[in-house]
Amino acid sequence: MQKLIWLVEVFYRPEVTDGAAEAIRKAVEELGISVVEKVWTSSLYRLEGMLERTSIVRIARELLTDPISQKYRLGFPQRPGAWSVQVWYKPGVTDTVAETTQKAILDLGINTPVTVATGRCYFFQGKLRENILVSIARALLANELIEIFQVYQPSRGKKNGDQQSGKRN
Amino acid sequence: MVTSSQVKEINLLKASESELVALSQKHLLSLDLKEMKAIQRHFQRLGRNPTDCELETIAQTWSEHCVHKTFKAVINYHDGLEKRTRKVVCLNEIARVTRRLRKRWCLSVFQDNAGIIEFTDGWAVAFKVETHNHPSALEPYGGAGTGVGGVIRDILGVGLGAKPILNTDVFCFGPLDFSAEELPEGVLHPRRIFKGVVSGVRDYGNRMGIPTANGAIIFDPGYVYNCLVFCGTVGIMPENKIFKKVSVGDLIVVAGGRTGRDGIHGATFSSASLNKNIPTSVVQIGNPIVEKKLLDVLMVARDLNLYRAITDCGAGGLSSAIGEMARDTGAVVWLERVPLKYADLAPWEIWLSESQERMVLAVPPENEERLVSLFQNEDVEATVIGQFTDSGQLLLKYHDHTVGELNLNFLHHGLPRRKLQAYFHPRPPARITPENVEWKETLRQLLTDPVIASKEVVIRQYDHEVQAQTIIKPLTGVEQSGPSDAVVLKPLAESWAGVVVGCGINPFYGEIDPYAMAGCSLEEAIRNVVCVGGDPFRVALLDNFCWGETSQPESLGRLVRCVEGCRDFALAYGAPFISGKDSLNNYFRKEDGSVSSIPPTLLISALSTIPDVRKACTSDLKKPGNNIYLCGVTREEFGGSRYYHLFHCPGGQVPLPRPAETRPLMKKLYQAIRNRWVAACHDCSEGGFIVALSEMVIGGTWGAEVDLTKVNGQPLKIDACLFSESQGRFIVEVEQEHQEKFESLMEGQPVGLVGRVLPESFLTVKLGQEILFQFTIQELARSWKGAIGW
Repeated sequence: MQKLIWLVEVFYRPEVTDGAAEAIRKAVEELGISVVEKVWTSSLYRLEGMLERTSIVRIARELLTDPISQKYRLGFPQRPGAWSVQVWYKPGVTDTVAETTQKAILDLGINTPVTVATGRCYFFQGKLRENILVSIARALLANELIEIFQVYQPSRGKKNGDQQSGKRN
Repeated sequence: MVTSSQVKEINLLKASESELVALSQKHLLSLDLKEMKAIQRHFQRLGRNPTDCELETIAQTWSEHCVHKTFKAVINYHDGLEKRTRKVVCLNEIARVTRRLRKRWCLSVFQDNAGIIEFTDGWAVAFKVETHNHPSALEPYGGAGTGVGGVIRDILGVGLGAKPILNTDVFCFGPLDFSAEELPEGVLHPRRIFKGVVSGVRDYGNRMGIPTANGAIIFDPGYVYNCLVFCGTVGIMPENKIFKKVSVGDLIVVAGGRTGRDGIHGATFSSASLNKNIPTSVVQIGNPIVEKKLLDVLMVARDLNLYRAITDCGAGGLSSAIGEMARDTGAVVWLERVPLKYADLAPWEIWLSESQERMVLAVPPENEERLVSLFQNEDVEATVIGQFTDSGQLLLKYHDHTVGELNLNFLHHGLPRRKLQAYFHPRPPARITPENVEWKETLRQLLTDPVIASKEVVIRQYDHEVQAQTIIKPLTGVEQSGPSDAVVLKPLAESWAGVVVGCGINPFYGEIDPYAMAGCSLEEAIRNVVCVGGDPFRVALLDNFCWGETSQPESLGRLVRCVEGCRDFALAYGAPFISGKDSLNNYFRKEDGSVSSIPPTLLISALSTIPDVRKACTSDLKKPGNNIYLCGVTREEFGGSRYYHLFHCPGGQVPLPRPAETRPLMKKLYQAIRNRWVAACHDCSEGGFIVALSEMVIGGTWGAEVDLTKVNGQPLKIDACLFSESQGRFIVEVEQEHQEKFESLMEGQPVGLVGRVLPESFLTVKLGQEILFQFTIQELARSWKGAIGW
């Protein structure tokens, strides 16, 4: 079996308050940016290893997601009509949640070596431009000393992510 | 195999002076020319160049962070007050206090990772406060979190290890509403630093299961470029575990987290100033879960006597930890055995890495198997990486190749002592005073001053209940909304004895008079202890100096003046220093070459005991009808006060503690609290008497009426009665049935019956019969609690 890279996105159910998103929305307002209408956040897990889809689903469902308040999705994170900013640690920076995730995967009984990286994704709805999101990312979302960020435009056509799109060789 | 890319020889022998300076800069060694030349001479005598491992080890061991060069320097100090020049060594001045006071309850001072005092029934308590300023300025969450993790490890590594029972946190930030446009590139906004630092401290402490229950937060534009993050930990240990000694033949065991490239050059970096060109590698990220497992297994191993000595891996990583442990013996280290996070680390990186959550133990060979197996069972890695020898040499091996061999005597005693110049000139008194002051509006504005305002938004994020030992918590009163002066813990199930921890910090005084600042910080820490019922005659102190550019004689002169204040007032209060730490070079060099330094800052932390926690006292008003006394003398002392700050009045007379007046008062007050005659007690600090009384009203949700003509120290102007920050003052609530006994006990003391607690929901301030102003409790609470948002 080939080594595959999977991207798991974990996010709050719509009926649950996303406190982090609300804090970001307020902080954006404090920056003097008034064009953001809505913010969502999600946690990202990038898993690399010889993992079957069934194992990934099990990891996502049993380990990474709190089934009461959260849902997960495999693949590139996106929301219809929303810009997104992904933030990841730079290579070599200690990623403690990733370390714990790797250990917890072993505890699940999945003995394949898996390399994990964690990141965060922020979705923004509103009349936005890329340079506004770069300003927001620099001021609030990423510390470029240890993190990198990438701004993504709203997708056209794809809805709620393609579950297969996270699976790459 | 060792390749040339893994071990480099540094061409030092023939380097010119300018090349030596360039070498120090290129390798981020933070060593000056004199120090580089001492190293050069040492290797010239050996007839060879140093390896990168060796040079880096020396730089770490000789860093300001590890060896406190400025505090040990001989300073030619010109005192503008005495108009004479004399030689001063700052560290000696601090240590002199402890030597002269000779308190038998001080069990271990200035020699280990933390100071230790006697507690009760064969138990001792240890206390250490560290700073993590530079890392927190760059990566607030990780920097503050690892600050907490680091000081916890200090406590794990004191003696044979203490169990952490309390974390403290004191921060200095730029104003939260600071204009973002004024920030240069690479400097994070104070609000972002504030949130990141608080979150970092919260997550590390909470996840470790240690209550964070005492602290302070200061806001001032002087901290925009360099925030200050003080993290403290108190631990408890059996008295028979307070000393350690390495024996030749003991195995060197590294336990806990794995080693990566993170945090390399932390010690030398923290000894330098900040600028925008900072490498990623200096940032450390902590993992409290790993440290929690390490803590738990260490306590078991300690009680099984499986190791003879222990220390933490802090700044400088293994190089500092093993270099220090092997100081009187020698050691051989097999670097290839150190467990790594990833494979491609060069030997010097393994040796220098400041990866978190690691401890180093000296384990007798016969205990190796038991220790390693115990750690394995608890899912903590413990690996033998070397052995202590009698060679007096630190020998570093990597796959059978020698990558470094250093003489320990040179490493620990070869550092040339610095000779520095300093002078101090007192500032001229201020000539501007506030005019046409509207008392009620001034009080309202003071309550919303972020320095004074409630820190509930921060405090509530910390778990201050975990371990179920916290008797007096950070917030007090019926609605848990008033401020506590100090924290009281009851760490032993079988004893009512308690540990009391308070702190004092006021950099605003230091800007004008660093000597008075030292006295005020020290007295405030002791006052806080007294307010909750702690023993004022059994207070141990910790000093944490954070200073700007000490290479400037004027800045260094203020430091000397502050140190002398610490010495004089600690002696006067009979309170020995048991531990301390300095963080110098807290300045930022801007692109245009100009320098922004922090205000001179001194944190004094106080550790005391209370014989019976059931007699502890809080600050919230308890019952209508009770008397309110203001103990202590009020003077017109406004220099550095929040009142003068509000009206933009620089200078002025900084409050000066008067130990001869305050010590007897503290003694009587301690007795009154022990006799349970005191219903509530709160000290007057920032904002003065009326702010302190407002806090008591908010906590108790009872009204109060006070008459300013009854304030001791007459004749006084109204603003002095309300807002002067004179030291040595306590507001005390006493039930009427205890009035006679209390007043009789206090006879001869400057104590004024200034008012009483009322059932109405008003704070009424009168001048004789005239009502100056009234505030509803709701108005007070709204102002005080609403000023700092998250």
